[in-house]
Amino acid sequence: MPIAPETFTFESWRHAVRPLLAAGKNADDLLWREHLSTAAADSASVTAQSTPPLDKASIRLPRSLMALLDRLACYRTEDRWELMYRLAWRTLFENSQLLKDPADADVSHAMRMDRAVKRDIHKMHAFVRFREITLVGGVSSFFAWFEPQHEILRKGAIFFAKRFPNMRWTIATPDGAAVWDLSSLRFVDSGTLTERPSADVKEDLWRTYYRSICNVARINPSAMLREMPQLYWRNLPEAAEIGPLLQEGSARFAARHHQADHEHFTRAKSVRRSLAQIVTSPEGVQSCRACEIWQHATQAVEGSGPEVAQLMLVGEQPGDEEDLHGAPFVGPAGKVLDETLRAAGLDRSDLYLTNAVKHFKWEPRGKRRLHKRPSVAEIRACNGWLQSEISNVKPLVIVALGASALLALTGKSCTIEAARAIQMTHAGGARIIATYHPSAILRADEKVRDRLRASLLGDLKRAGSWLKITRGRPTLE
Amino acid sequence: MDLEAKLAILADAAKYDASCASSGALKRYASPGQGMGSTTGMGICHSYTPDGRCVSLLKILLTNFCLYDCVYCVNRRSSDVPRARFNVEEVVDLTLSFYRRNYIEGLFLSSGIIRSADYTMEQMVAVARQLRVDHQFAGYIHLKTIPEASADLIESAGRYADRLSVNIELPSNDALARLAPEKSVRSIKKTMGTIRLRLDEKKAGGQRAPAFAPAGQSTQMIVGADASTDINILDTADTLYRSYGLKRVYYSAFSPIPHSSARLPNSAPPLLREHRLYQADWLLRFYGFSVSELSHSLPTGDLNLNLDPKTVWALANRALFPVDVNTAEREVLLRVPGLGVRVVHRILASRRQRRLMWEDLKVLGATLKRAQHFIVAGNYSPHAGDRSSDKLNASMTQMNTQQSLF
Repeated sequence: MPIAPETFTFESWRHAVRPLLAAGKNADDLLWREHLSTAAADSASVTAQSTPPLDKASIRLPRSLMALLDRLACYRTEDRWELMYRLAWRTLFENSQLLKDPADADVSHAMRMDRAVKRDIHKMHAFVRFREITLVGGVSSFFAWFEPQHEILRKGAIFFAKRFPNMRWTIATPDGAAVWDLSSLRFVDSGTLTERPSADVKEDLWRTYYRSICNVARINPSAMLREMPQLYWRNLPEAAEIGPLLQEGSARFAARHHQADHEHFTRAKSVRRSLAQIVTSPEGVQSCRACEIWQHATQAVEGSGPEVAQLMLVGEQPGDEEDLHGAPFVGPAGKVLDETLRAAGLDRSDLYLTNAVKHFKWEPRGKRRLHKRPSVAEIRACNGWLQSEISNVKPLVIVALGASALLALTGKSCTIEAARAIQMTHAGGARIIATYHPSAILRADEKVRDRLRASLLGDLKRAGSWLKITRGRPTLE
Repeated sequence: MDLEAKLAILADAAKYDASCASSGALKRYASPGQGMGSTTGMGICHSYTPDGRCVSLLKILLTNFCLYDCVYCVNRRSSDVPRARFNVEEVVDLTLSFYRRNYIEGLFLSSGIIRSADYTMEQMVAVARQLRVDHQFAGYIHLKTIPEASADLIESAGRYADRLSVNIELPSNDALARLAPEKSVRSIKKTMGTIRLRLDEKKAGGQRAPAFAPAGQSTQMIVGADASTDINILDTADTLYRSYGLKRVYYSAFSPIPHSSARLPNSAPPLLREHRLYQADWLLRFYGFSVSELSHSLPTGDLNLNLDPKTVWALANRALFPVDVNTAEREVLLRVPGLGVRVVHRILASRRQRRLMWEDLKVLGATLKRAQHFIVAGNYSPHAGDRSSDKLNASMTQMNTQQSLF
């Protein structure tokens, strides 16, 4: 029966190529993918070509080569089987010391793949995160979901059997799952596993530790990314802390930026770059679980406006109507904003509008949802998204509408009244103008309403005139 | 105070200790039926924080209350940081529950000094003993050793821990006397000496001798808190390596701490300085360089921030270059800028089978951008033209400052 190369394991590959090697079939003569399946099925039909055939029994490959091939078989790429064959053939017929020449192109390629496989196994040992499940009878079991780059589950799982022999555990991956039942290791289809815990009682402690052990005064995201690439992040509970920590670190660099010191400057640039790159996760903000608000919201409301907007307005969070429409500032507060913008001579379609927090946080009041102010932790958890919008849009001026927006932009808690008097700059270089949120106008007593409205109008006008001043000046990037 | 608040304080207080290695331990596995954990000799970094450092161990202080008033330390008694204290069981539970979830390789426990050196050390040893004996924990344990603690306590610390460390703190005796008046270089060195003697005894005693810190001892030096030059620092490190058989000297760029004393500089030294010190440290340990050789190439006594120390040395010793990659000895190749230990190993293997050409060196992973000025290969010799050391220095410095630091 023909064997399709896609279904090879190291064992079946060995079985399939043995007759080909015995026949001395040159690697270059093999039209690998088609030829292998038919040739393997009918080894008798293979005739010797340029090389004298070997007796089947005499195909003995050095142990070091077999170990290498075993690992190369894990490397997720189409041409691995072909490279493996070439290495075997060349060792048999061309140079028995082939592996000892790292300058050979095949050997060098194989070594690179080998290092990648070993690294992936090592990363599995490092990045698997168990969550505890209490089974009937009070027995504990541990479950982890892990997504390796290569097909290394079998090789990587043994480590855990030795480390946790007295713990029931399961490591599930897209390629299958390893199950340890205190005495033996079994490999099963991941689809058969029903219980997948989504949290663990110790994760908060772990995240606290992660946050506290990081020295934000020496932020260095590229060193982190080198060793912990983003593809591993979604299964690491602590990864949710990365955005806020980077943000904090980057704010410190901004504070020292005027020292005009080369190292700080380069570092600050690298931090900004990574920040932009990091928060743009493949699934985007819609699947963000960095805090709990999403559970009761309809959707995340992303910012809207031209990507090249020079003025950005940041509010607090979407409200009831925004949550349903999926667009910012479309409810009552949005109407107040629109009126004030018109009065200030600003065109809404020129502006980028967004919020500090992307999901709607509310509490029940009667039959309705009443806005509830997001906590500092929630603002922090969401900050990466806001910062990534800022680094994409690169506005010259940012208007902070309300204290939550101000906190998200500057890291400072401060009343709007006080903040209106201070000059502030965002880490990315934009000028920050703080003002009242339009909803504050809606909620205010009649006595103060007009004063707040006038302040908002004045501040928006100020933003507009700042734009004119700042325009034409080179930005930091 | 709840556990989470304590953890936040006592991890924050521990983060200025650079060491986080979990390597060097013996092969050890939990036995079926009891306990958990393993060490294989190779450390594992379970996570990385945005400061680029790895998280391998649960690195915490038992307490950040401290009798001492070391000026550079955030936990000194005159500092007004929030204080907390774990009890022994809390640390044990935290270690086990983190380990069980595969967050960490083990525990790195340090402490401020409360009541007395012996009392503090006893508490730390109690944590290690409970983990090893009561819970049959086979993971990694690193204990910071209090210099004034009694020899008996150091003995039991070594029985349970994989690694011990005593921080030398500052590169010069003067600086220590000035900035850490309650500490003394003599007692720090005596403790390192005690540990070294125990390690030697264990080595001589073989299998039957009681276990003692199989991953050896290490130390940490703060860089940039006093006026010591890089050569002073390397000289101190070299002395420590030779005298006490240290596995590692960690260099920690002084981080301006909150509420710091006026006796300290108010800005951090460039982190690049720390990086260059590590490079120089590697040259001493793995590349056969001596401190005096490096010192000759450094007129100011400080490492060049723009160029790596090996290139600086090579530019000061042009008479020794170029070397032929097809014939030069290992020791000579190791001194070529752009060739690391691994690449040299590959060159030696490969040239038994072929005559190495320029392209081969690329395949082998050499950094030719630097090596090109110092080597001869089968089809390559350095360009003619103005290749004075000054010119090269200028062009390589420019190349370095133009590219990003990372």
